[in-house]
Amino acid sequence: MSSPSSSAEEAPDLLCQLDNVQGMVDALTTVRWKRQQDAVMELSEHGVVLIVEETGCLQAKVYLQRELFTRYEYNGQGRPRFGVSLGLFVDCLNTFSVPGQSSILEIRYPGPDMQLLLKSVDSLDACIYAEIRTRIPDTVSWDYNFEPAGSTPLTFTVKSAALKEAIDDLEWPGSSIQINLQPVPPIVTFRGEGHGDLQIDLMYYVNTDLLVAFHCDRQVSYKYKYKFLRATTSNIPGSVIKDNRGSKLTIGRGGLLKVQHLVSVARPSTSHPRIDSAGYQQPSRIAYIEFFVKPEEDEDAANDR
Amino acid sequence: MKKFKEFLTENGVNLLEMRFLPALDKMGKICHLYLNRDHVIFLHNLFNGDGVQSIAQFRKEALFDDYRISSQNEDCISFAVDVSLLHRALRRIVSICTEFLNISISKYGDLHIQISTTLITLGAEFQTLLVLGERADAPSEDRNLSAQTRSARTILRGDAQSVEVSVKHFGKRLQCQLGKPNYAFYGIAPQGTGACWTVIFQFFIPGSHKMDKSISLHCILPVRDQGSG
Repeated sequence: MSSPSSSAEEAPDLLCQLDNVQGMVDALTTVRWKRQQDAVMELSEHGVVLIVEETGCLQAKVYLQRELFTRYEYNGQGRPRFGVSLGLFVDCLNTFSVPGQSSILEIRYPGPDMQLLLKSVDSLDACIYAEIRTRIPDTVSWDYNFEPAGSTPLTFTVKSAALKEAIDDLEWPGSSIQINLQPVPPIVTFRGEGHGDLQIDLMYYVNTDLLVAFHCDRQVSYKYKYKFLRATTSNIPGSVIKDNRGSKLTIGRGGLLKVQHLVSVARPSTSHPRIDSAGYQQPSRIAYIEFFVKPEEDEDAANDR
Repeated sequence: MKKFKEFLTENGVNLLEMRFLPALDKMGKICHLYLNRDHVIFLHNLFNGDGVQSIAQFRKEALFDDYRISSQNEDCISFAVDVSLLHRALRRIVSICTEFLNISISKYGDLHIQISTTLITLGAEFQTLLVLGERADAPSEDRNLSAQTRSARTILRGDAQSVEVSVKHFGKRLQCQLGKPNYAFYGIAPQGTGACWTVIFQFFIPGSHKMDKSISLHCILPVRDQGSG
């Protein structure tokens, strides 16, 4: 078991504090598409990145930049990485989140036995703590190496709520979904074929409330497995929908699909008047979530020209 | 005469339960376990030629912290085991471990609650609580230590006592909070040959800070192990 060791005296690779635990729970929950998921966490002076993968077809990354933390002290060398159970980590963080109350959480890595240490630090006389066992990440995560498909990006931004609704609706027809982008008229089409056909058209200019931005100079079309597409929106937190945010989808070289969401990790409304009165402007505290979905193989290579 | 006695470490349980036994289970239901002075080896299909042969070897330190073996065959022992049974037994051990909470109280007014599994330890600590009975001052050198370390040192010093109670029982006792007590006193009391965990709730006369002696509520929780102290 853990014992007081001399290493505890040395500065850990990371010591950080967070005042919005719920925001972090929201951000991490976004990439939790099944019960048992192993995640890899990567630490650097810029922040923490959490990576989850599904057998080389789907990868998700949560970027928690240092600006999201109220304190961020990094002393690691060469980006320390460790594996952790995502479900356990999120459930554990949840125990530190008190609804309607601002609580400060301290995260430290590594502990005496390479654990990830969490501790509430609001009160001098009471604390909750957790030690999560970490693993050496067993696979070097495959680099999805997203590259633009051509000289101009093929991308559109759609309201997150609408995207989620469209993908939820596409559950009915079957196992793969074709995404089609065409410049004239500017339309994004989601099409599922299986038990029947279902086609959802998002028309730019017709409804700019829904499809917020659209860049496409040539027609492209790729098929994606429904279950992977669904994973990108299945756990979008309520705050994203409430904030009426948009999600950006980009099709890269070879049809690799990038889906980006923005999750607010803003300070809870019970703010520190001391800081506010000093005229300090809080930069927007947003966690960036990225999913990379590989297309199904059978598409013709002509798409990439 | 063949003898062996071993104590699996937490890491050993973790390694077997979570990682190796699920894999070995797929190789075949029955495997041979071969133990010698330094190693424990799981062997599959070694004698029957067909099928995948698999050999998993662990140095004794990888799994055990106390390892004793003796036999007339140069301290080597081999026998067949049912992998799925072994896996089930280990899973049960892991689940039993998560059914109990460790609670300790000290003369310094510390209440410490902790639960552990192979993957996580979760705890809560409350300090400088009011102490009824014998109290002492916490040594200043303990101030910056982690809750677990401080608790372990206090128990060693004889200034704290710890017990293990069932999580289910503890959950029920939390429901007493619904009665909105004003104070809760915690104690470890002797009961029969062992001990019990006692919680006494106090209620104020509405609108005052005086105890309402006309109401009383207390809970007694059975204890698994008296622990140390």
